[in-house]
This record gives sequence, structure tokens and C-alpha cells, in this order.
Amino acid sequence: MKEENHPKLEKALRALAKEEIFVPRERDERMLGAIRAHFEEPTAVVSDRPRLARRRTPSVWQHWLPLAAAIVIAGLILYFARPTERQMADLNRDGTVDVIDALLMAKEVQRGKGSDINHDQKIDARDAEEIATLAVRLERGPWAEEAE
Amino acid sequence: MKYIRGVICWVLLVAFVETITAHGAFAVYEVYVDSGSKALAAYQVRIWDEEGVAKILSVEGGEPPAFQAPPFFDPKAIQKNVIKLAAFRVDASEQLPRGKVRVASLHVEIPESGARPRWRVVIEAAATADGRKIAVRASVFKKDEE
Repeated sequence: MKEENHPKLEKALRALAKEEIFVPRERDERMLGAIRAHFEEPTAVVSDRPRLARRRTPSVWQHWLPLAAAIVIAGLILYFARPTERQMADLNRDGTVDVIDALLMAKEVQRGKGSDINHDQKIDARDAEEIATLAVRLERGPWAEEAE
Repeated sequence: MKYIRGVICWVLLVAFVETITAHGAFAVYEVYVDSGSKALAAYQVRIWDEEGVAKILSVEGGEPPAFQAPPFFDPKAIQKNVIKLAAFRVDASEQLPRGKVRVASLHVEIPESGARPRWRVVIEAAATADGRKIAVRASVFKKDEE
């Protein structure tokens, strides 16, 4: 801001800085008392105990709630991070469950490996068949509407 | 007397034709997969009738021993004009078919008389015995029309 733009304002501000404002002592103390009363803690008036002793002790639920919340969150993360049936069935990791995954599973089963896709607690040829059944399901594509 | 007999025969013939057309026509369509020189261990195709006139009734297996069993399909495709077929074999390459082979047959009903389905086939997957993807060609023909 340049001086020539607001000469009057500048002059008035400079004059204000030099001018002494008299505040009577009583008014000053009254004002300070009111400020102290406003910001003072209410318990300080009724209690003489030290400040730390006046803090409330946390209740049991306050103590255990964060831990319980952490356990629940960890459980949810584990639950949703579990591989889905589709992810388990996509053996060649090409993003689609198709008959090639069924073929690979059948070969795994032949070698005594594989995974329990149909959740029957057994790893056998039925797991490969389950993948093939998943692969031919009509609901899994836009052609489902064509069929309706 | 001859005249009456002729009329009765004509009426019976008309009634027979009417009965046949009222129930629609039935046909068999054969699904072929051509894997060229490579051994076909697995295939997955999506087939649908663009005209929407055919209703799939049942699915039969194919010709080569490896694919004689009916392929996998969704039972919900029955009475519809779209189906996905898939089959796989874990046999050794030597026992798997090569070239153009009939892998399945579709038994369909065409309720509308004179209508003719127009089949479209999309290959969704095909692989050799070791699970490697291969490019194949697929086609659908009416039985005895290939």
C-alpha cells in the first residue's frame, strides 16, 4: 500500500500510536477478574487437591475398547484379504476362470497337489470339475441378458 | 367310395402336417473345433443363435474318444438360445485329437416353422496337454449339412 493512496488513514494511524489511553486501575482489575473467572476450571474452586489427582480414572470399557476395536479391524482385514473362490480357481492367474484352469487343476490333482475348490474337505477330480462348472456359468457375462 | 377314401386320406395328411408344425421342428447341430496340428486338451466355447429362434434341448458329447462325454454346460442354458460348452482331458498328447473334430452336438427345437437359427461361436479358451493356450477355430453345422 503506497502512502499517496491513503494519506489520511496513515496520518490517523500514526496519531493513534502516539496517543496514550488511560484505563483506571479499578476497571483494569475488574476486567482481569472477569477474565480469570471465565477461564478458571470449576473444580478448582471446590477442591484443594493437586491438579493431577483431580483427573478422572478411565473406566474399564475405555481401557479395553481400543484393543477390541483393533482386534475387530484386524479380523475384518484378514477376512476380506482371503482369496475368493474365483481367485483360488484362477490357477494360471490370467484374470479369468476358464477350462484351462480346470485342466491345470486336474493335472495338479494327478500329482497329489491342488486345492479344495468345492469345499468338500477333499482334493480330487471334483475340484477340477467345479472349476469347469464355474467357467460355463451363463451369469458371468453380458450374454446372460441375451439368454433371457 | 374311392372319393370318400381320398378325402379321409387328405384330412389325415393335413392333420399330421398340422401336428408336426404345431410342435415345431427339431434339429441337431454339431460343434467342431479345429486345433490344427496341435493336440486339443481343453476347449471352451460360447454358442448362441443370433436369430433367437432356437431353443437348446440337450447336449451330447463329441466324436473323438477324448471328448465323447458330454461337455460341461450350465443347465440354465436349456430352453435358451445361448450356451457355453467346455471340456478338458488330462491324457497324454498322443491320445488327444488334432485337426478338425466334432466335440459336441446340440439338440435344439425351433418352434417357429420355417425359421432357421444363425449360430455364432466364440472361442473362450483352448489349450494343449501342458495347459498352454492355443489358437483354434470353432464352427457349428446342422447335422449332415457340413
